[in-house]
Amino acid sequence: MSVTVEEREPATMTDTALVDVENVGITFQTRKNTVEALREVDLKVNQGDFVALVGPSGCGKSTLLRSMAGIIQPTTGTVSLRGEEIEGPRQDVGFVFQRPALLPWRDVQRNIMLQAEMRGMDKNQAKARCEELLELTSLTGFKKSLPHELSGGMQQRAALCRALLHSPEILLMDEPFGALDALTREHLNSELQKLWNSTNMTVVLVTHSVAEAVYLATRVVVMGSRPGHIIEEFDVDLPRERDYEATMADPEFHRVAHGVRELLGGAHGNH
Amino acid sequence: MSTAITAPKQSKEPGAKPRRKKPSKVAAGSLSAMYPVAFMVIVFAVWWGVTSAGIAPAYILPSPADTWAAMTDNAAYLAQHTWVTTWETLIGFAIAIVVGIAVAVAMVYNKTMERTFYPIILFAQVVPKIAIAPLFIVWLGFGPQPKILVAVLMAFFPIVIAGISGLRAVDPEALELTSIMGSSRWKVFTKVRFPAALPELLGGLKVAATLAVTGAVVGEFVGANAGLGYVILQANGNIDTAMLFAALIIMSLMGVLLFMILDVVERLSIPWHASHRNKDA
Repeated sequence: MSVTVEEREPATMTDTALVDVENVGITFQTRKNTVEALREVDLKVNQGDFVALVGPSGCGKSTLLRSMAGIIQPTTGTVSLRGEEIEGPRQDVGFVFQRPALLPWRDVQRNIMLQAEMRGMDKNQAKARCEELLELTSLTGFKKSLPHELSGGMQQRAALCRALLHSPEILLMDEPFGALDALTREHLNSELQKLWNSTNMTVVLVTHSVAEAVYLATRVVVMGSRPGHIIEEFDVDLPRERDYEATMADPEFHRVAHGVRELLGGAHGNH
Repeated sequence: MSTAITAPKQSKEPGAKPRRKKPSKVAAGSLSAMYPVAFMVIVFAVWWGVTSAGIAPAYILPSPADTWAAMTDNAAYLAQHTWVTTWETLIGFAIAIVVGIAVAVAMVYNKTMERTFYPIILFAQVVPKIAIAPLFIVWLGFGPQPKILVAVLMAFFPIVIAGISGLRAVDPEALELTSIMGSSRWKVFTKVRFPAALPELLGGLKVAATLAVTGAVVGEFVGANAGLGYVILQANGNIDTAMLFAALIIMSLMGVLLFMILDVVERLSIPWHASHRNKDA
């Protein structure tokens, strides 16, 4: 397990968060009207955190995630990474979508290598890193397979490898397992948990599933809609290394999950 | 349906993958070639029967033998004119590909371009080419240029339309992904957009290829001293129907051949596409 995130000096100011969302408001201009997606959002993500954003559809959680990736600029306020305002796509961010978004004409390996080609990384280094990630996600035997030959779970694992190829410090995931069946989803949750636990990586995950959020995250951020805002943050007091079943049975899991569901108004079923 | 349930056509051994790869492909290929061949044989048989029974005089319907004789007796003459039409077609087609793709790219990337040129292109498409061909003769003379121009005009439209819808068919998430990767527009085009457009584009090229042949011949009809269109006009003037048939057959074969070449290109360049994946299913 040598998915190491490049070791860096801890930020000069000790309490500078890795990602700092300050008083962010985002409005979209559509043809007919303006939509306020986010209002006055403050969020700090520290190095090594696993933050889950949960909330009803249209609460702006995906927008918030995209502002961290630098592909949506806040209308007001700032999003900074290591104290530096994000003004565009960044080298140190990895992104996973709900759909794997693999290019159908490229095999798994070349899909992962797209990241290297687009960012102009050293080819040999990227290749070696790719092998490592394939190994880690048990895809080594499928590196020459085309996406349509893989199951949904395997496709999403390939997408994860692609997102990690350039060893980003922060991994942003937008409902990455939302389109998968329940069993595959559980399985990938455990894998992601292990991956995060064995690295120094920071993860921000958008999800509809309260169980997924609490199982994976060190902090669960509950958002509300119209306009999108943060209602409350829950710290999850569970060890970093988490067994799926043991965690599901843990009183702390239920405390947080219950608290989150309460805020979401029970509108979100029993995920 | 019910027979299929009681007696499945093809029993598979348990655990067999539904999609076994290579071996069936060849058999299926030669089998699928059998039907059109059989059909052609029937057409020839009927043709031969009608002419040998003396139902139609030779100047209306020449027999297959007469047509064959016209072809072999005038092989050098036909080859020379086929060559001319082939060149006009290929050059016209090539120009149409380059210009068509360039215009499609410009219109997809630039709204103003699209608003400006789309109506004009549509208008140019609606005008019957045969009606403007004389004008090209006036402008460009009796050489190959006006024929090439008509071929370009005919082949251009399906390429532009296919190019535009192909370039738009790219997965929006793939585009978002590239913007997260901070990719340059050129890289996004060459690595994502263009390959994504290939299936539709190649479909358009196939249509365009056959139209390019038509375009070249239409150009020749209006004013030429060489090419298959010229041969047809000459044969018509001499009431040499056998020769006319020979030219027609060569012309059709040209279009079919060009189409088949593109079909091979398609198989080789987009083996990943669903249209090929399911072909032998």
